[in-house]
Amino acid sequence: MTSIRKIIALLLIVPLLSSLCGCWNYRLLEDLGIVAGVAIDKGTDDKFELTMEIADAKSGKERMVDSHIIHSSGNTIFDAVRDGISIIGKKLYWSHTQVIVVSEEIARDEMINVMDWLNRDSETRTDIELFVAKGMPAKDIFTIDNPSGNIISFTLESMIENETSLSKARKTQTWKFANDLISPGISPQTPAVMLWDDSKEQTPMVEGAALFHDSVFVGFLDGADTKNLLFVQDRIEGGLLTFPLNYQGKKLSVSLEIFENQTRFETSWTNSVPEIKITMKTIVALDELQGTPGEIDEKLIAALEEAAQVYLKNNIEATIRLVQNQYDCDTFGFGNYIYRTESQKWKKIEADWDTIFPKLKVTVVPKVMIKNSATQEKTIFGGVG
Amino acid sequence: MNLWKKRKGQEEDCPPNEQKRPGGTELAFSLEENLATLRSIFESDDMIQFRILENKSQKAIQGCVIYVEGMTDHQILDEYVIEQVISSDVPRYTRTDYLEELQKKALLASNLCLTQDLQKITDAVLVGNAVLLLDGSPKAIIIYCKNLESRAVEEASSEQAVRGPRDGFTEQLLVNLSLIRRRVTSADLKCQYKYIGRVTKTKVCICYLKNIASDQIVKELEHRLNELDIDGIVDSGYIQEIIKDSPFSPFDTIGHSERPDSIVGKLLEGRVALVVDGSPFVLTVPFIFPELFQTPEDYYNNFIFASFNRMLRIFGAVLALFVPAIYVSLTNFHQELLPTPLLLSIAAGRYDVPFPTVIEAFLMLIVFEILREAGARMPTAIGQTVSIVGALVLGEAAVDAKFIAPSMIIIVALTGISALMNTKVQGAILVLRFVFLILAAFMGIYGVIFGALCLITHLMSIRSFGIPYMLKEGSIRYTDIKDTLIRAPWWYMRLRPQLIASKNRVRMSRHAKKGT
Amino acid sequence: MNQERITNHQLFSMVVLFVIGSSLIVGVAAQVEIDKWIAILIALAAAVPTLMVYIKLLSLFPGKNLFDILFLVFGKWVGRLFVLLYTWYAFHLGAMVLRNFGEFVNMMAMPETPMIMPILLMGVSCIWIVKEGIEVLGRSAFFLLPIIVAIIFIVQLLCIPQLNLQFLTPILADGWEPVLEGAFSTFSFPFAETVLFTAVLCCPANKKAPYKPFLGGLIAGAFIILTVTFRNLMVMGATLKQSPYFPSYIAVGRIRIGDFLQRMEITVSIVFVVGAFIKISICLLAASTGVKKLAGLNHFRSVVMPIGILMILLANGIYKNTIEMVKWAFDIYSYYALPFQLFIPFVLLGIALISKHKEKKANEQPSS
Repeated sequence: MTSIRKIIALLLIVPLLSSLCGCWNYRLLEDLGIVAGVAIDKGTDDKFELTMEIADAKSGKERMVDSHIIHSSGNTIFDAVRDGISIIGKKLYWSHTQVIVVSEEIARDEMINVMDWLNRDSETRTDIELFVAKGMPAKDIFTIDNPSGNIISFTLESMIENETSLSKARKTQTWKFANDLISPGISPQTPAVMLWDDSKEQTPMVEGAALFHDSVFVGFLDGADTKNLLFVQDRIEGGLLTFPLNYQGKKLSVSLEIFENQTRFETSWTNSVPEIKITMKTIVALDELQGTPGEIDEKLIAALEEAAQVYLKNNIEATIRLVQNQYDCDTFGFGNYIYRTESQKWKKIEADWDTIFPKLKVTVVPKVMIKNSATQEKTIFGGVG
Repeated sequence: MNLWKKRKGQEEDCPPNEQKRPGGTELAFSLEENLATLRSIFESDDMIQFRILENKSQKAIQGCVIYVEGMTDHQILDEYVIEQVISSDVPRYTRTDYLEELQKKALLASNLCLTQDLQKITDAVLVGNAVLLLDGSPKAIIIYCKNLESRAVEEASSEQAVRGPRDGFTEQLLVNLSLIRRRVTSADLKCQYKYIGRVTKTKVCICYLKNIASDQIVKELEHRLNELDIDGIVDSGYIQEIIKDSPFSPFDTIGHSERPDSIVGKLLEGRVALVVDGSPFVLTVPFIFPELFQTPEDYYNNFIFASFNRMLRIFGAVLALFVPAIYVSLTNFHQELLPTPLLLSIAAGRYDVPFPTVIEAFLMLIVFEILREAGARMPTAIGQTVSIVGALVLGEAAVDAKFIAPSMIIIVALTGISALMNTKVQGAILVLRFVFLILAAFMGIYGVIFGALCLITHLMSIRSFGIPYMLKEGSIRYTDIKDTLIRAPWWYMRLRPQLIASKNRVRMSRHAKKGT
Repeated sequence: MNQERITNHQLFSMVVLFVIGSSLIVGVAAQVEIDKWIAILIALAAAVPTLMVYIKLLSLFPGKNLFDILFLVFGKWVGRLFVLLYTWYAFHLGAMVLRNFGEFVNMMAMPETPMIMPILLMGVSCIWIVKEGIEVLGRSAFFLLPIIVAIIFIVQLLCIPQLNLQFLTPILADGWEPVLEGAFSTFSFPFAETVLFTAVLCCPANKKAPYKPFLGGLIAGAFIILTVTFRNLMVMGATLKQSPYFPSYIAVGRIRIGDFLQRMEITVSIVFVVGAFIKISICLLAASTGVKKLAGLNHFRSVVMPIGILMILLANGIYKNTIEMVKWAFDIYSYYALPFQLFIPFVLLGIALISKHKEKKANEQPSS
């Protein structure tokens, strides 16, 4: 190319390049309102009411992360989200949202719409924790007195992360909820959150589960029932088994710490009506033994295991019956299991699953193995008398 | 060079620096005539001395020694030449032979040469040698008694090593050549002189091992040097820039080094060295990408340590190129890719800072470069002040005054130090860093990725004297990463690099086992 | 073309990167849900013989690429028509991939930036590297391949905690029909698109036909797609029924190891950019070579820039919205590409074999 042409080409390119200045998606950190958590309620006139906790970062020698709460409402969820700009002055940024708390009303009527927005929006990530607020509007969780300045959403998130040691609630992220919603033969659930009054201050507490029948909320389970639910769903990673035992005439109270659990289903068919048999294998350790049985020997171990199995069997079957009769939603995933293993048979009974499920015969066969007795072999005992 | 031809009104082909010489190009018989010619050539030059001689016993023997004050070794001149001419009793039989008789029998200096060429005589005088003219003889004797002050052989200041020889090249061509020659005592080492530059007539020397180096490369180098038409060469850098393959690329395609052991290592791999008089930097040709990250020390240290260092250098170069760009793109376009606590920390640091991140990055990088350049130019007496000012300015004050976010300080410091770690590729990294920053400001991480792809395209397309620049790079075959990413132990480096030493690839015999 | 040579390794890298080009991120076989992997395997089984046809064709005419062969076999005028068709196909494919890329950036990374920006960036980079020639392209692919493979491998490892084997069941719940549909779709996108390699390469005269690198590249690329599909299935499970546009992006977003190794979608972006880069460059190269053949030019370098710019413009305007793009890609494209990928090469090979056979017979006759 001759030099004149090169110069002309350059002159043409430079103004084109200048159009690249101020690229459209360039947003400074200070222009973003980072939403740490959101509570969705149903407001007046059927509008969505959102309560958002915004994480602020303040500078200075002690860098503190502060939070403040804003409210906004709108006809659809996205409408309410965008309205938030007029209150806070910054564009809300959802990619770091950790927690969504939903009120019972929303869970009952609008859960599908919430899920649609969550899944479709590109900013919301798929690992946001879902909660249903028990016995109060969802915004109350965020509007508590918060003198320590911690971000409540992060606190909630670490609470549910550490639930594995307690197993009284099940961590449900939006992808899991959506998965359960879409998969045939299983209904989703979320952990329940409530406020615990401590006379001095209120803190949120996570315990129990909120059950859904497809996308409609039907009721709560308390902590103990949720643990049994988790046993059936094979989601136990820790926790305790506590039960009383009559041993050689003495009354003992036992705490067994759960280390591992494996749950398997088996189906058997009679006249194209399925029956489920649940086999569980739980490995525990003896963590606390109240009462004075003397030596911990094989007989005691055998008795403990036996008692634990009976305890588990009764409780789990009771919970299953409770869910079948009272709530009629297949949270356990029995239908899903049949779909995955015998999809042809599932296709035939799929339409009637709602009527088959409450009458489903479920037997639980637990097996408990005590692997050790923590650090001591014998119980501690005081002086005579 | 071509520009001169295009200037209007320039009728002469001869560049304006040269002057036409009065008279012919050869000496005359008469001493007066010769002296008159030479005096007119060296008119107005007080440094050129004319020492008239006359033999004690034979009055007809008249001569003149021409030399430059301060550049000659007076012992040789005085004792071995002047004294000998003055007190010589070599009889004068015939006029024409007398100079040769004197040269053979009387003059004691070892390095002499007879010539009739006027140009050669003037060049010899200007270089610092002395010329002896005798009345009645059309020839002259050039006495090579040049004695220029020069630096002693000391450690190379630009490439210091903890382990390894500590001699470095100096500005004297012969000293440098001797440093190379004493390490390579093989008849295959060929050294060919050339003179480059019309005014400076700089002597350069092409060195290569004839049985290993590729003939094509040597021929190409000679060809390019012959084509060089410039008035003067002051440093090897001039030659490097003019004869290199991709003149507009920020990456060097001709290597340079100040250490003889490094040059000898490259010669043994089949490369060609170009030693330039007046410059302590010796050029090597061809130069490919993996060499940017090699230092001679790698080969003397333990191979594990050396491999680690090499990978560190490559990582540092990548870091220096991309870190500011990635930081800007992540915090301004893709905040979702940062973990939440990190994002909040950065946001906390940026609270109240008036500049947008891109401007901050630009400012701080430029300030860092200013400090670096100032540190290089500053006289050593004030050097301390610079470091204190730098630490204060870049560090505390900017953050306290809320001009700059503390995270930016870390980014800039990291980038700056990583760039300084690789001296050979420093220039390229400096410039490209800003390019990537601009790309990141426009298109976020996609701008950076495309910038990297275009950089790879550019690197893949350039060649150094016919050898592709990225030879061996990207190949994960064992044979190829032996000397690029890691430094394999010596018993594995049996073969020389492909293409460069294709004539003779075997370096070590197969039986050289570890531990022998 | 006569001075530019690429080694077997470079060809292998180019084929692998071409095959995984846009498929890793857009996903393959969208008609099938859980049994995608079966569809991929079937498609691979069908693609291997097809590729052998391509290579055999090249080896029958050493020193000539597909366009030259079309001229030779079909004569000047019909050959010209076919060359034009193939040039259009390469051009269109390049524009489609460009648009894919633009949609990805627009949707996931930078919603407010107009789509022309990423398309322009990608287009300019491809124009530059094609101008440098196929040798530089081969070397760049060779350099980039280990990096990409390493990234994919590490991401797969990091995804292991999220994998859920149950999501792979039930197998073949919906029967073979959707699986076969999916296999057909996967065959034409991306496996048989490698026909474009025949347009840019030619077999050197006295070397072996490049069966190994070509087929090896195809199988390696298919293997990578298979592992990524498995990962997506096992991580996402039923939510795939919602048909996300870019499943890999969402699957990788779920990686969370400790508190720091999270949000690694950038790796997906890098893989996509590099793969699309190579794929679009090959398409651009094929189109330029076609135009060079049609116009009788000496070198394709002069036409690369105008064709590239036209490709950018086409990519910008080819679809109205993403939904149209997906519908075209998964419903219509397989049928549209069928003649280019299957019919014409087979016919060419048939005619070439027959004529070679006739030649042999004619040569033998005088001696007998």
